[in-house]
Amino acid sequence: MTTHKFDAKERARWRGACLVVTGIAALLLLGVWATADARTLAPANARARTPVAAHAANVDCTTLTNPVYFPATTLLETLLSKVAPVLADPARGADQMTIVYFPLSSCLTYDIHKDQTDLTGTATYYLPDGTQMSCDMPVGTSIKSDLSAMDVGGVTCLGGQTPPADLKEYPSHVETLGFVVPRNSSQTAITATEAYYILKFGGESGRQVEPWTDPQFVMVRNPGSSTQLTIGANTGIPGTMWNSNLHGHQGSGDVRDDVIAQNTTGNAEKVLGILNSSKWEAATNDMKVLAFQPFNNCFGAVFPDSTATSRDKRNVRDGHYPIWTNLRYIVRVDGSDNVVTANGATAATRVQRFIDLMTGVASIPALNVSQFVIDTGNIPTCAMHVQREIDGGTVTSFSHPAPCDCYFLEQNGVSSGCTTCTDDASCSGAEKCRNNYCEPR
Amino acid sequence: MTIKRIVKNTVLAASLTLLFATCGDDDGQSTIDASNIVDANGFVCDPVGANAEMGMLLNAPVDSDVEVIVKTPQHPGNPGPNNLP
Repeated sequence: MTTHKFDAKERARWRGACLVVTGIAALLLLGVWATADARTLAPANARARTPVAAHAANVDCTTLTNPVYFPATTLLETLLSKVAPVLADPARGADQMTIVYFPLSSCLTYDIHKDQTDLTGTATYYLPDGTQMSCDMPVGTSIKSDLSAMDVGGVTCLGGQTPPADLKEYPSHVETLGFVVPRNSSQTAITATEAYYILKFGGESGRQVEPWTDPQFVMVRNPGSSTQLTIGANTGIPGTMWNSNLHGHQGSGDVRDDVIAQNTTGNAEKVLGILNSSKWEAATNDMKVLAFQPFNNCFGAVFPDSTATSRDKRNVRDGHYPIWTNLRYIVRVDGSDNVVTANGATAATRVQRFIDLMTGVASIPALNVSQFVIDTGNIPTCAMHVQREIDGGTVTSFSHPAPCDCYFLEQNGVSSGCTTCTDDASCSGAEKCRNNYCEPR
Repeated sequence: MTIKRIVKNTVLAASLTLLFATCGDDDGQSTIDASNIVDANGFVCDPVGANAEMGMLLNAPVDSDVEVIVKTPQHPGNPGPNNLP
């Protein structure tokens, strides 16, 4: 790869200018988010706090074995469908737990956990055989969340304010986001500027982008959605300021379903949606992701993967495709940084164990989280070569201390060219044997 | 409408040649001035943007097997991110 090297003076000049511009942009952006979130999240919050009568067919969530009450982004749904059954299995012994999942928009899950709002309504959990079930929170109890998960940082949800000291964020895997169209659409690409016009003006006369001119066929989420916030940050129009005529949805599954529903209505060409890769990769017969040309890219649009049909996330991993975000687990901690939860010390121990397993700090043979992350269309950080510290912010080069590129590619069905191994002695030079492949270090 | 093709050998090469020519070398004698780089559609394109490193990553040469789509923009006006309405 050809690179241009900057001397110290140049670096300082660019970095200084960049920090000023980024800082101003961030302040403006977050100031707007603060106002808009307070306005737009109110109805959703109100809905979440309204007790829902228990359905006779559902079990009481509090009767499940070792429940972990977990409001989390809808983007986590697919991964949890793999992880939760393993943890629910009695064979896990001391690690057995039932993930009681409340699928919601990112910032709403953050607010619920931060404010320790009573959990109400119906949640999702999984049986050890993978069957998805529903349970009801009993009316009249005051069960609080044990942790939450979202795809943006707390500072974003708080409109730029510093998160409370008792909330700790654990960054995790990378989720790829993008624009999707029904499989029957002929469209293959969208530019950042086109997206800006569509999302800001919503098909307004004189500011239209063919063929996405009817806002009712532009399937978006809501201002608390990390998908919308992240895509907004990459298209110049904050997710809290998108045109109100666009077709909003509560969850990513709702967007997926609406996009697919238009496949055979004759309107496929008009449809544009925003989604995460785990959703579109599970529905490739019915929809496809568009190549995206970011601002300041001067050669053309690229897919998250190297081609429209590959599964290597090459352009995400090397910095050509910038629409991605890190998942964050959010827990409450005491002054000594120990996890705490309103549901008691035993529950806190379970939460810490869950976090450790999901972030790779701990592992058990039955639960290969990296494999599940890859299987669900996501990227473990060990396969990334770029990073960002601010939501939707600048992408910079990154070198993971224990890379897993070979494993990532092979698990996606892509030949890595790497040597298989059983230990470091099987590899050459500085290579390390990791996940049965000789990785560069 | 969209024109799907691999462009590494044409537009990308031209853009990057201009980019790196204007970026100067490691002696620090040159400064980055990419304001006159013109993309395939005749628009002025700034491959550096607000952050040099991100600009370099976005415009780094892609492997020959990477699919690149050059699209005729369907939006009014010039491309962003500067001076968007």
